[in-house]
Amino acid sequence: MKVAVLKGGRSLERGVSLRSGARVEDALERLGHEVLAIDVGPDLVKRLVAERPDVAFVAMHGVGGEDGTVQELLEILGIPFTGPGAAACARCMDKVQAKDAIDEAGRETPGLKTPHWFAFNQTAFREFGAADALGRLEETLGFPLVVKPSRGGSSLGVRFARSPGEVPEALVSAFSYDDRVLLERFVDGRELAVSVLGDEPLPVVEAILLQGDRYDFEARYEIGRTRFACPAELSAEEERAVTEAALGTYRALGCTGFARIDLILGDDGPWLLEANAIPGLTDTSLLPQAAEAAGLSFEQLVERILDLALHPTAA
Amino acid sequence: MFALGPAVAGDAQPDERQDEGDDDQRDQQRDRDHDQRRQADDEGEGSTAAALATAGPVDEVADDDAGEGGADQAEHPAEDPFQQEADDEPDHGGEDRHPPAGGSVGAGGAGEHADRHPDSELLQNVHAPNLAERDGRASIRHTSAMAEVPEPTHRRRSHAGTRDLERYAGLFAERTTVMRSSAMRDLMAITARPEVISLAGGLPDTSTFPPQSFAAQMTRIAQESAAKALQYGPTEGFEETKDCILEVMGAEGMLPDPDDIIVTTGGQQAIDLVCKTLIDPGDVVICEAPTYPGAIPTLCSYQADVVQVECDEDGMQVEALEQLLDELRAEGRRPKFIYSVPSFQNPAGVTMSLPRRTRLVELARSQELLVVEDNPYGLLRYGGEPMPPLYQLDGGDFVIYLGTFSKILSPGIRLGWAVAPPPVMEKIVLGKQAADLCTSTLTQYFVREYFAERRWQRYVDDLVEIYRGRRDTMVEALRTYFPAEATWTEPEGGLFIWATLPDYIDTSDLLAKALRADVAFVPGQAAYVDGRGSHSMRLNFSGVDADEIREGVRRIGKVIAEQVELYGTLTGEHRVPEPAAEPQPNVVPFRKAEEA
Repeated sequence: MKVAVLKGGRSLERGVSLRSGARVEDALERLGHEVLAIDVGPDLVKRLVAERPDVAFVAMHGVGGEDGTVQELLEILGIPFTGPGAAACARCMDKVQAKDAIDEAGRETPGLKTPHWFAFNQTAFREFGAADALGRLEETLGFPLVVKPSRGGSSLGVRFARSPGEVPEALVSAFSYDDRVLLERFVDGRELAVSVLGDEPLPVVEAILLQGDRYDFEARYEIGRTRFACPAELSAEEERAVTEAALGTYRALGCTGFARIDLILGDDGPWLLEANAIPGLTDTSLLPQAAEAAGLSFEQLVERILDLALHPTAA
Repeated sequence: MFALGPAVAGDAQPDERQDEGDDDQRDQQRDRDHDQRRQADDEGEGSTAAALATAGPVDEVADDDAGEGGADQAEHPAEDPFQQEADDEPDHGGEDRHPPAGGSVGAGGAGEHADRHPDSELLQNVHAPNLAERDGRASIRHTSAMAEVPEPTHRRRSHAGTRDLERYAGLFAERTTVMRSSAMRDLMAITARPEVISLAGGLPDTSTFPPQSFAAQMTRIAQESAAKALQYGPTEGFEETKDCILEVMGAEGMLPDPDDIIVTTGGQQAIDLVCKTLIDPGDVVICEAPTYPGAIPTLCSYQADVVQVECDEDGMQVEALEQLLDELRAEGRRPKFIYSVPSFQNPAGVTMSLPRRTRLVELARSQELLVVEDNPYGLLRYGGEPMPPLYQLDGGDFVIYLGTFSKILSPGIRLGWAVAPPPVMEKIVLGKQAADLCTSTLTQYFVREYFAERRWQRYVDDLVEIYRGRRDTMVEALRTYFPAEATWTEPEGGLFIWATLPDYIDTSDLLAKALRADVAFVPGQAAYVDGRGSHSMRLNFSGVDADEIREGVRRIGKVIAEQVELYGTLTGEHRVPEPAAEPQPNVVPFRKAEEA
């Protein structure tokens, strides 16, 4: 089979994407597929039209590759592709949209809840004096609170404000990545990730930070700074709650193929943070770890992802 | 077969100058070279580098290692010098070392395969036929050996699974835990996009070096000294390279003993070798704040405890250093060395004042402390009075001096040097042997040829003219486009300007925004070990032309202005950014240490 691996692009997560892509190419070759590696640029459509791959493996992260843009193109070109469709990608990428969808579904499903949050775009501050609402909002959320860009991955631009004085600086940082930012109640608890493959949850991964005060970008991609426990040590009840919350989120966002749901397990149950439409596939990424814990080698994982792209109903 | 003790460098090198330029003597010379090497092999003479290179492991090791190649060789030296060289190539480990049995040497006529190499045709146009013949012989050996080796399969870098990673993680040396990659490095990867104006590099402009001149020098080397230029050289470097170094150092008033000099693979290796020689895990090393970002990974990989002393417009605050030394002494600690880039510092662009230089050297002498003076930019001065290097003030007792050809000639040739007191140099030489045996012979020949033209100073003058113009352009652009809240240094030389923004702007985050505007800089955090510097940035003005400098600074200014305005609205201060209307006469580049 001729598989186009789409990677790179211009997003800030280009580096991670190239690592994911390289690893996927490697696995595809071992599986005996013909690999067409594409570092996505202005010639993407031309190349896809000329090369006519049977399927596209999207190994892109961040804006452009994970937000539905590339998926939209692939849908237009009629090329089957891995991971969620364009609409689901767009929903996952934008944390505001994602939280809206989860909260909406949460009205029916009690286990689906997100930490209390507010979202602002720059215009609100620049033109409507939103700053004057900050005090009230801080009162509601309490401290510390989390400030994050609405669209962005890998913890880029995510800041913690411990006092009102730290909020403006955190907002300036978050606004460096996107025009819309979220202020979110900080929920203390265990950091868990549930990857869903097809419609099956994989074993839960727990990120345990060894150094540094937060689970930040650097820790996420460095061997030795975060320890991952997979499967996470959870009681049967916890595991059920966490898995159901993740599956509910996956469905609420309309994901297909695969996705990774990040959440915090607090004293009062799971709190959903975000969904990653195209989770990392690097050496240290969580989806491959979860698959491995489920007994799937990386090749088997890649093969399964391809299957799901080609036969979506088989899920 | 060989003693490992330090041999006199260059012994194996026959009189190199006498036959240079004499085409007729080349064959003869080549034979002499071979004879000489064989003799050296027999008698144990030769530079340490050559000895290590051709001997393989020492006998004791080789004997224990029988079957891995070393011992066989030691007992049965190969007849053919080509054979000997190839088999002893130290870069090949274990089973690769022997060509398969029966691989005949010299089969086929000389020149038979010469045309297999696309380059050899080109070479023949330039060189006398005997070169082609040599090329032929080399390729014969190569092909006859290759014939019995299975066709290599294309092997991609394998990607390990999680379990594998854990297994590797258990093998990593402790020092690797402090060798950090970072989000910043990922962001910096994006700066390579062609549409990005990068003010992030530290690149000299090598497009100013005339290609014809490069071609002529390399051709001369190929015609006159091919065999030697392709051979190993002494660990310490060639005497002729040291002569060039003496010229460069002489231009700044220094005249060290050539024996105190070692030629290194770029200035970066000089830093590495000094660290390797002096640092045990946990040792204190004092650096400037900010310091050269490239020194940090080196220091960290030797597990130094790096302490940074604040800089201001006169360079490292030596008064603060004195205080730090007192504090350390109270704790019973003593720094292994003080690392400084006193002239046109990377990244701050500042230059240490004469009183501070004098005081620093006094301190070093009175407390018997080593100072490592890294001076890559000293000759790139665009204004002000030349300043004596620390090495000159000290006389070389307590100052280890590091230099490089990277900024005055080419970083691609990877040629730098260190000057150190003899006992330190002895250890550095051993470290260099272990690292890479010797610095590239080929590029040392290139520098020798280049300096022989006696135009190097004129080239530096040309660079100074170009860079002065670019610095002026950048300073002017900063005045025009950066908001009034920003400050920056106005360096009298070097390649960098250090700009500092209001403390609510994190330059790592700003870089993400700047990259969307297709412009890049180095976030200041890269110059600190402790997370400071997050409000500053390093801007390079040597690597891009004036138009790009102006446009790059304009774009950065715009994203800063947006953040300044946003912050104003967030705090209710509604500060609308205004570009500084008048040139700022007294830019304060650094806040004082206590404010930071």
